[in-house]
Amino acid sequence: MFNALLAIQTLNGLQLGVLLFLIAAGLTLVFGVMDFINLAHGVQYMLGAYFAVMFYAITGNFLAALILALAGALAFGFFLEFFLFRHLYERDHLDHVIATFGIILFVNQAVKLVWGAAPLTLPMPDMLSGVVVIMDGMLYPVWRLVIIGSGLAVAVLLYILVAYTRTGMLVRAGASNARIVSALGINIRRLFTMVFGFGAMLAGFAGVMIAPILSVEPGMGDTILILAFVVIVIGGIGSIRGAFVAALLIGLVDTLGRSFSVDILRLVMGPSQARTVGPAIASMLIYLLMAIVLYLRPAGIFPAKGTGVANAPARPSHIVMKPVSHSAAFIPVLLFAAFAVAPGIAALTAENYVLSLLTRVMIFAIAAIALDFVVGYAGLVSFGHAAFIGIGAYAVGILSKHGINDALLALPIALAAAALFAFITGIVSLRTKGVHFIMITLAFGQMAFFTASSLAPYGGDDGLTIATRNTLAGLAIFKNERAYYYFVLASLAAVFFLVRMLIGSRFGRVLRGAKENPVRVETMGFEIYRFQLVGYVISGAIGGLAGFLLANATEFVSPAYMSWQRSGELLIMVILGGIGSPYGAVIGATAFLLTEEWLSTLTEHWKVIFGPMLVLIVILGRGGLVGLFSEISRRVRRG
Amino acid sequence: MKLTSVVAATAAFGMLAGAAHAQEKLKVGVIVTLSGPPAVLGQQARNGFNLAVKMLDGKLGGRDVEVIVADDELKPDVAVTKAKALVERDKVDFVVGPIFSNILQSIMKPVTDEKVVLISPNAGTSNFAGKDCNPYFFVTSYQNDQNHEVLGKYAQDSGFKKAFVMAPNYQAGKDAIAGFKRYFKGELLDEVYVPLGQLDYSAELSRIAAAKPDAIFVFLPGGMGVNFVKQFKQAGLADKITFLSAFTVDESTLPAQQDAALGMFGGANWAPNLDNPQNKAFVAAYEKEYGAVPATYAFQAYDAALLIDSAVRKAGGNLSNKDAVRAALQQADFKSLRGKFKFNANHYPVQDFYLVKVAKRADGKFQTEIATKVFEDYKDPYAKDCSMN
Repeated sequence: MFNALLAIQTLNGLQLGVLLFLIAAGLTLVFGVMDFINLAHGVQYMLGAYFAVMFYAITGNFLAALILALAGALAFGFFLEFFLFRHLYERDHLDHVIATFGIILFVNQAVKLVWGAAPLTLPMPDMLSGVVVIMDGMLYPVWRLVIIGSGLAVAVLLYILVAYTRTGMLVRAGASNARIVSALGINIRRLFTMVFGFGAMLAGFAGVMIAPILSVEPGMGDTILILAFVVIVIGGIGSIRGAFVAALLIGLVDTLGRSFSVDILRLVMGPSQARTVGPAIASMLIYLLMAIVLYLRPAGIFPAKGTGVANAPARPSHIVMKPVSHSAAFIPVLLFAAFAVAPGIAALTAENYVLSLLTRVMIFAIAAIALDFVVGYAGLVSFGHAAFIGIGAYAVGILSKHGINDALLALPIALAAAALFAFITGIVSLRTKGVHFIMITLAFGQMAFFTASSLAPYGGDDGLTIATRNTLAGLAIFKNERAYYYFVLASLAAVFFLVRMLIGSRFGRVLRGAKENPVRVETMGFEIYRFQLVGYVISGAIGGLAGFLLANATEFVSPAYMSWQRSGELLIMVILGGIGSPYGAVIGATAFLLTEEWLSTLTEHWKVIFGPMLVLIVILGRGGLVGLFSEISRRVRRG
Repeated sequence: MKLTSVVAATAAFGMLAGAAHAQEKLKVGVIVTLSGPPAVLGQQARNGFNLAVKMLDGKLGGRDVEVIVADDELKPDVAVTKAKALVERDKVDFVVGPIFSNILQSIMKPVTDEKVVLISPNAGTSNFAGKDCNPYFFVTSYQNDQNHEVLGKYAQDSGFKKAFVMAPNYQAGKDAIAGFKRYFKGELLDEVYVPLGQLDYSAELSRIAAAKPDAIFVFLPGGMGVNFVKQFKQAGLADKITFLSAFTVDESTLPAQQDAALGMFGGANWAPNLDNPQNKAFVAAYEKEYGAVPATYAFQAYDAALLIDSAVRKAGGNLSNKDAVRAALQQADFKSLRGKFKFNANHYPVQDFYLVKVAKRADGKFQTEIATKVFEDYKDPYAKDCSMN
């Protein structure tokens, strides 16, 4: 019986792996060949499924729906490439992130407008809807075998295409070094368009094939996208073979982990405990796997490039560190003045609402400064910074649950817990660079998230209500909204000046130098790793401060505070404001949250507006809002 | 043009000045989840509430009403800000919401601390039914455990010997299984917790097939349920194992599950075919207005509007006396779509619960239908821990 179960679970693992491969193949090619991070790749998967549902409703024939849906996905891929992405290839990775994130927001909401929020379904072809008997009464749906079969067929086809055709050769050459290929007189642009369209179609194909099994709903591409990124990073960016191996590996580890983690844990702990811990560990397994692979082989299992994208010299980036010019120095002054007088104005309106909204803005500004410190000055793009907020918040919640309510105790513990987490994860993460650093920090963030979700005594996934805000040395002054507001403002100012001071210090100069030219800094005798680790720990501790403040502001803590979406939002705030300036982070957080708040009062479908706004900001301005401002002011001054 | 409107406004003001106070609009904030996959539940609740207002000619308790809808985005901290916006900025008289338990936990304080009444059209956690019960909090749905208890009782009464249970790995999931086990005393072959939002159940289905239970009980809300039901059917298990569930097959998921869900059981306090005149009128009006069959979320929000209507009327349109308003709410003097309805001392309903079964209607649409009554005038067990008065 156990063997039969194992066999079936292995098939299930293969099916998930094949699905992931179909999505990851396009993603890895686009990333490898064009060096373009396409977060909107999951959207193609979703659209494939929606197109199939739509065309099935029209034609009533699965095969016709499949073909039309593939054509639709291809057309949409070309559309995106031609009108948008083509203009962004030369940009920084972070610009790709923000623009494609905008597309996700827009398309998800548009799909909801067109097809409704309710899940839809695609019937499977009748002749393939049966089950087969695997062994002694264990049944297996035929359709899942069809998915495995068609996925493997695509893999073989891709292998032949890439290994034996001229186009495939160009793709491989492009993945290895696109500039040389272009210099040899190949129309690289056309190659890019073809690769992009083909990748989009493969993702669409995955969406169509899975639609009879899974519900077709808005946002269905978001979670699978993260898994696909895990796959391509483990496999080695740009490598089809790597994507294939890694996809199957992830599929098997995830499925078998989910099936057997509880049973294995039962050997060492009680059944009810195993039932709580098991699923949390099963959810973490793939991230654990990724962290281990990246630790041992920082460029993935099958690096496509001799040097690997990760180790390639940073391309000239528009994020050049400029000393804050005198013309810009008034911006922080204005910002803080605005925050300082806001309560006075708020008193004329709905005071507590305005205060709580602005308190939230300032808290995220603190978190954004923390993130900007590592992204902008050390070149470490962390995709797991929400974990520090969450840890700081949970410190407050857990202490409060045990009757410890004073900030003099809670605040240092929150800072220390976040710093400790940063220290431990930093030791591992900082061995990697570039995109791999992004993914490994995501992995640790996810681990923190799943841990919080499994903290049953502290509310688990529901979160934990904090009975009352912290006292400060026994005084309940945080209960007064205005007093709390000014406490947060003071914290923001303190963090702002601390970070400014750090940047200007010798420590900060080493960090910045290491970002611009690591070799030279190493040669000068600095051990970059240690400097970066200290920087990362400081950033984590500031994140913990934001968590402490957020928990007290909302009187509630929840695992949602450390979801990867939240980490992504933080990155967007930083990029939106303009990387490499603390006030840019403040502006970014303020603009992001206030725009969100404002648009959401206008319409329920505000993301349809917000998404394109993000794309526009990327296209118009280099260096976020701060870049946009200085561009405008320069033009104004020149007349 | 401008002048005319000023004159008109002045004239209007003059006419209304005497009755200004009574004519001031009643404001109700509706905070539900309208983002992401669970948006369909929030839309049902919002639609149900709006429909009630429309059927009452845009008035609640005789006063013109303004409904302000907010999306909590299923993020607790966002929900706190949105709730504060409703209470502080929009100065609403009532807040109706939310859908999800974790959001309820986060918005309870911001709303009720300001002495604004919060009426939940869905989430009804055990803490607020018991030790944390709140004089400003009312529930028109149920206590979260109860729908699961329906299935446990039914499984026990039907003489099922071996059951397999599954729920998401979070608090509501654990409450669901605990609720089922409170009444089911047969053998539990396995108790499986899956991550919230899991889409593929191939691993679990293999286990279920291997365990060979008489019945399976699952709590897999929203898209999770859509996927599981389809895959359960595809794996050929639907003919062998009795499918018992809560919040897994209902009118919000049936349009996607369709035939795969036929004959599956759920537990509920209502169904679209519940036989009373007000419910018939509601279902017909809802289908006409929104082109979909209403689910419990819609009906419970509709009842929340009727509850407000009755309380405002009883208080004579004067909401400044909070105690009088709460006393009027407690009386629940309205015609609930579920028939008889009253509040327990903890402001949670005392009501009947049914086993419901998925059926296909003559017009091809799917809905749940009452199979049998399982509990009569059922109260939650937590009320005894509640001391708010």
